[in-house]
Amino acid sequence: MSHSFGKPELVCPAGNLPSLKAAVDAGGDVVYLGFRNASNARNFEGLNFSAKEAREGIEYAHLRDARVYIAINTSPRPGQEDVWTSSVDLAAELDADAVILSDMALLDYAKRHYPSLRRHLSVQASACNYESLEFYRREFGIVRAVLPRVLTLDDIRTLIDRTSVEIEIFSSGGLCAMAEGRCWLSSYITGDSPNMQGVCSPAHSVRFEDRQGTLDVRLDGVLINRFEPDEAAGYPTLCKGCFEAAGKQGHVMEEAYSLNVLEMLPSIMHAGISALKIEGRQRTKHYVHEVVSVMRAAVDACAAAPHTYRTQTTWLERMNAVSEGGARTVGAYVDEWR
Amino acid sequence: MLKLTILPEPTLLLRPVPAFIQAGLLQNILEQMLDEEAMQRFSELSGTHFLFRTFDDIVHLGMTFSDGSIRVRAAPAREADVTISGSLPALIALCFSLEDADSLFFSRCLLLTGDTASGLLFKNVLANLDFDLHTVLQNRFGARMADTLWRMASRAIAGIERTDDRMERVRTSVIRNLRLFTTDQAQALKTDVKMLAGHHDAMQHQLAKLEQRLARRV
Repeated sequence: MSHSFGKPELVCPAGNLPSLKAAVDAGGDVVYLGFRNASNARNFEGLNFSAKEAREGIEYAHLRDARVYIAINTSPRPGQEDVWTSSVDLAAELDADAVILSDMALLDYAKRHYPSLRRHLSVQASACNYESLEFYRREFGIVRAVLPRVLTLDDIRTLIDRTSVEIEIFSSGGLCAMAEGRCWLSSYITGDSPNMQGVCSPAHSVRFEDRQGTLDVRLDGVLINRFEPDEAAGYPTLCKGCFEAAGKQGHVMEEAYSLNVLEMLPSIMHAGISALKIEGRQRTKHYVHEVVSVMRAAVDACAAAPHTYRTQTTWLERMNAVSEGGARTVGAYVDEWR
Repeated sequence: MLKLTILPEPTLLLRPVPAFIQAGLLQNILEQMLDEEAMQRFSELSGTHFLFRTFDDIVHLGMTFSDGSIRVRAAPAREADVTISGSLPALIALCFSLEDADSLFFSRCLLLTGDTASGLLFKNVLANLDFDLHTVLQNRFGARMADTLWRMASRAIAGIERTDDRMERVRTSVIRNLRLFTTDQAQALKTDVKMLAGHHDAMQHQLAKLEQRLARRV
């Protein structure tokens, strides 16, 4: 089946108001954000939006023809469901353009109470086949799904052929161990996970220790990584830790590479993908501005002349300069990646 | 973006500046930057002792929050709960939200030790400030002086970036030429060795002949 070549919308991260403004000013079509509670998967200290800040951000975006999606994508905890349902209420009250949800009960709540509010399926729902997407569409009226980073581009093309749900994929930023919504690695050591508490490697469990230039990283006392004096450091996540296995020492699960699809943009756009998501709500406005500017230029260039599109070296350099690990990968989108 | 961390480490310039003046300066800057809402969010950090230090320890300042105010000390009152270390440009970039803090951490220009949660809260509340250093300079020194300072800083950084690019080109060129040079030189040495071996054979031949003549005379 031939796919329509479309210009995907750029969905940009914001963990605070300056980042939201930076994303809009740099040409982002959409900004996604979370409220300052456990309802979203980036529930870090000092991050995210109060109701007042979210209102100001949404006004700022709407005045400049940009949209705002609200991520409410963790699992409601027993006895505290109102934290999650009131977040959906607030998103609707603030005139958000969509809510990004993963929990079925919350999808049902949003559908019943706010039928006209667009519902997107979060990557945290881990839906990666068309039957699953069609189920969420039929039962909860989702119009878009963010795919987990486990599928090849060929898989995604097949999926697009068989569903009317819009498809959003990650285009850049930190990579998880590719089990979004089902990853319990952080919980294994700290008791907290992104699925329930909204945090991978909660800061209260993290300790960095400087040993004369060598940096030791511990999670609840467990040494998970050691960076030599001139080595680029990475986030303190268990999936990117260094371990000894089968007599070898190294990154057993995942290297500290960042996703970057610039070099395969024409194939992605030919596949008929509706939106490209940029990871990084934990980052500051400078990161957001840099990555959104590059992605905006690249998507526009590719849309204008897909056959002559070439990735500019300066784009890659700018992205690498702010990326975790300082190295890039196209992740699972091509078969070679483990 | 004013990319400060491209600048060379200038902390030595601060060595003659007494620590209490450094503390007063930092306190003054933070008080100007932090609005009421930020101070309210920092109330969670009440009782937490911060230490800011440059890697070379020339700057070594303590900071605490209490009752909606901030206090910077030249001599930290006690051992810090959170230590933020870095190159001076990286510390300034963090305080003024001039560069992405995580990128500074990845490149090892910035380090957070001790209570990570408090350090992260501090970093994220600072990043949430819609703070513009250019505007602060204008309020402090007047538009004309601020614009001049800003232009000078931007030009200096752009100049260093250009110099960095030039140095990178020179480095690449030297490496390329060095490889060529080494290859040529190795070839020349091989030829020399061959020549020397030839000379050695000839000399041995001459020596053998000389020995035969001597033997005949004896």
